[in-house]
Amino acid sequence: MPQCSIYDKSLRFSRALYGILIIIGFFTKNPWYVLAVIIMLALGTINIKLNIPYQIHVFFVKKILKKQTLIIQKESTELNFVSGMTAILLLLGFLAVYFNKFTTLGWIWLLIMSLLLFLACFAGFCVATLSYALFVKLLKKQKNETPNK
Amino acid sequence: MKPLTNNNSNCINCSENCSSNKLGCPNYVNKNCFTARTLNAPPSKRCQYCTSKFNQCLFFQYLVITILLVSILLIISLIIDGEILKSVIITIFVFATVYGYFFNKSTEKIIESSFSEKKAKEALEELTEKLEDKVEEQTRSLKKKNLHLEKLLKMRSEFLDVASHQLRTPVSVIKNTMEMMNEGDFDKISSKEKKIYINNAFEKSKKLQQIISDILVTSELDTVGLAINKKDAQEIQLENLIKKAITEIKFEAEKRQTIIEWKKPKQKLPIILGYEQYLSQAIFNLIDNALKYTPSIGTTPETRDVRTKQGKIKIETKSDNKYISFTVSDNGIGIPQKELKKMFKKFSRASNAKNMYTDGSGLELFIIKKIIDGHHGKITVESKLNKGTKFTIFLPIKK
Repeated sequence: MPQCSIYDKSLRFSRALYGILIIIGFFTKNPWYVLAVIIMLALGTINIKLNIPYQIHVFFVKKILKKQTLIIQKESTELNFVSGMTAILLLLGFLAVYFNKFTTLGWIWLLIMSLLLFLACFAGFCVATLSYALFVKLLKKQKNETPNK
Repeated sequence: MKPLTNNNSNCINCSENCSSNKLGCPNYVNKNCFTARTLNAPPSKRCQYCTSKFNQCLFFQYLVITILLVSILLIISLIIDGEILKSVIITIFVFATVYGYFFNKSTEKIIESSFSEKKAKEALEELTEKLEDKVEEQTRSLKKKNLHLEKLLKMRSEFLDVASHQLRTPVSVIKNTMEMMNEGDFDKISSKEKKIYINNAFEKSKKLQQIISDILVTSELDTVGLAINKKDAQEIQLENLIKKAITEIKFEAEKRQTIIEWKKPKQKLPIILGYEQYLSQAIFNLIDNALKYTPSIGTTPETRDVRTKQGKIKIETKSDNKYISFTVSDNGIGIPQKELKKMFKKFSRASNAKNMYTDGSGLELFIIKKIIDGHHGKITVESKLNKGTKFTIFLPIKK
């Protein structure tokens, strides 16, 4: 699996920022603003270089503050999956609000999602990573079962 | 999936930039946790100290409870107020995140310190165990050394006893002869008797020289030891050494009227590696020993236990792919069966040999064995009392 070195603090910062942006979206009750945040998040799925809050933090810490930060190795698939999964879950909330079907539940959903983003940043437990592990496990299980069929 | 490496993280177990996958190292994978197992890496830094199952993970439990509580609170707020109040959201979010942050930080430190404590305890237990083992080992070694020292002391005492006894006999003969000369007793006896006394004293001085030489060689072999070293070992043709030994002993054999018969091999013997000086001594000692304990038909002063049957010493050499064998057999006094085993021990002499010669050193067979052992060979003995003895030496051929 391809791996990439990432700055741990910058990743946490990007998650916290997305959480804040979603809360702002909730307070302003502006679904289009939420969609813009979702698109920004979805860009991170393509490449970590397109994760704007992450890149801003890296630029600020490395170029301006010139500080050494903790580098960790992660599978790029995991990172892409986490970004994609978050974007899809947020999109579900947006769709509920946009189509005026379950507006209140949609906003609650978006709030919970932002809370999960905060927890991933502050408590160090990412639900999307957990989903990724489950997904990989399922894939492996399926792969092992296929030759027997 | 390759294990992930955490370049900048410190490792309690090892050093910085550790790549080990032991518990506590950055690359440790908790096989009990399905997330870590699936990702093949610790999902978080604290996971490198964890051995629990995933369902026992405190953070997972915290997350589930927080989501449940927040959802319930938001729904309650919605039901009571008809809308979700901003103040409620802010309060919940601030509480959940701040608590989560401190919970994470403090738990991480607790886990880390508890792990360090566990490691220290383990190291201490290991050290205690090792120390106990070491003390036990040292005690064993001391006991062994003590036994060895006791043995050495006993050996020294035996050595002094035997050496003083063996040296005293020839010295007293020489001293008495000199005393007789000094006191003028020599003038009263015939020239034939004079010759016998002088000859006897000369023989004893030779014996004395032999005993001293044996003691020195024994001491050297005992302390330094003899082990063949391929670098300085010589290529030896055994026939030459046997020939030399027979030439040296021939005169003595003639005096004792004993026949030495060498059955030469049809083909030349293969070369062996060794030290000529020592092997010569071993071969000479073996033939000399056979000669000494084979009673003669003659009546010269050197002969003991005069008998009617002709004394005969047979020497035979053979070789196979691995060894050259050198056999010396005689029709001498033989060795009692029960004394055969101790024949190669220091100062050991057969009871019948002591009766025949009171002044033997009991070192010759010991020296021979040490020399042969040093050449990676072996020596065997077969004997029948009053019939004769057969010694065989096996020496490895040079490859």
